[in-house]
Amino acid sequence: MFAKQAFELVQEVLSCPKDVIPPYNDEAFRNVIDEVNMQHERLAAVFQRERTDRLQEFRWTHRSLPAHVQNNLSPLELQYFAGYDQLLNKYMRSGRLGVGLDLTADPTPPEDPFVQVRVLRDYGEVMFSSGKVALQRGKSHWLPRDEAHPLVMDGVLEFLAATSC
Amino acid sequence: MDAFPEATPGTSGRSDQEALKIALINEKSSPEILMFQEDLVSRIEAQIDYQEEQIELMRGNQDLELLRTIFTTELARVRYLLRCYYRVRLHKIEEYAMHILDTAEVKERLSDREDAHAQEFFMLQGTHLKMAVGRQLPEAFSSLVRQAAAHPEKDMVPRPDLDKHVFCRVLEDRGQVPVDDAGNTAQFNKDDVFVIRYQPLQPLLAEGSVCLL
Repeated sequence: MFAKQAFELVQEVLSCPKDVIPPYNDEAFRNVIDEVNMQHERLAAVFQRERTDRLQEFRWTHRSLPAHVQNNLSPLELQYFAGYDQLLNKYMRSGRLGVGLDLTADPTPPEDPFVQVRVLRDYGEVMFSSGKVALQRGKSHWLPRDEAHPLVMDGVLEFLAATSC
Repeated sequence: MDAFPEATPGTSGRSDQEALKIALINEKSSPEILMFQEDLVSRIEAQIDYQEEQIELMRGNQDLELLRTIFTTELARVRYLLRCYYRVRLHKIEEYAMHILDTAEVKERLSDREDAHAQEFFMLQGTHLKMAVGRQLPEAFSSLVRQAAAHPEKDMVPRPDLDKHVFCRVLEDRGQVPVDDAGNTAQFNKDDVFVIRYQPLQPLLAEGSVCLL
């Protein structure tokens, strides 16, 4: 009975597209856990692991969690995301502990080091290696690609040329 | 131009850049984590620092604008390669954290930072699973590893598939090379390309006699 529920629980996550995390089904999950045997434990672990994998993926592609994803997470999962965020930040930091590179930046091979962007929302002045730029909504600028990319991920800028990101 | 007699990390760095590219593709194509290229990476990092200084020195000098653009482009390429290299390794480390921490010979291949990350990541994930699944797992991560390792089949531990087929190019003549457990061999001549099970390539890859494609 609960084995079926456990299976459906895993199906529920796996059937969603990769960039979606369905609402945390606490009741079904508890039902499954109460009925403990190896088989259930394994399915429970697969279920949790698939969800944490997706949470990690969000950290790499979006840096922070979009609201519609956040609403579907359990408190534990929110905590997991924060913990993973911290780990990754530490690894990417400069100095002894980290490699000093933002590994989530610009996953496409660089062509032109500069890229044309449009500002989507007011963001104030930002210091780029090419100089100081006031990011005002609607304006477009030529910016160093790898420095512009984080702001694109944050939704402050968008690339104008037909370059994917 | 005379101001930059040494400003040619491009030439001295060419081979290092090439080596980093090979290391990156090897890492991308191999199912398991490979030895961290520590010397290569520290040379590349020194070159990046140097090139950044040079670009900074050229700032504002109109005559050097073109050179500066070329240097900036080159820097972006090297940084991209290095980021990819770190990134592809970190993904594997996270995917196979328990297997890696549990296997001394594999754990040795990590850099100190990667090792620290693997342990902390394993703790994070282990703690989460423990709390979410609500099962009584031991507190300390070491005993967590031991318990998982003690499990006879270890079938809950994700591990790389070393039987996976890969493309490889032979970089130096090696004569007859064993390609399976049955004693079959194949002639490995420079520039030959093979599609072959990964496992028998392990030693050749470590020695740099082949690269993956």
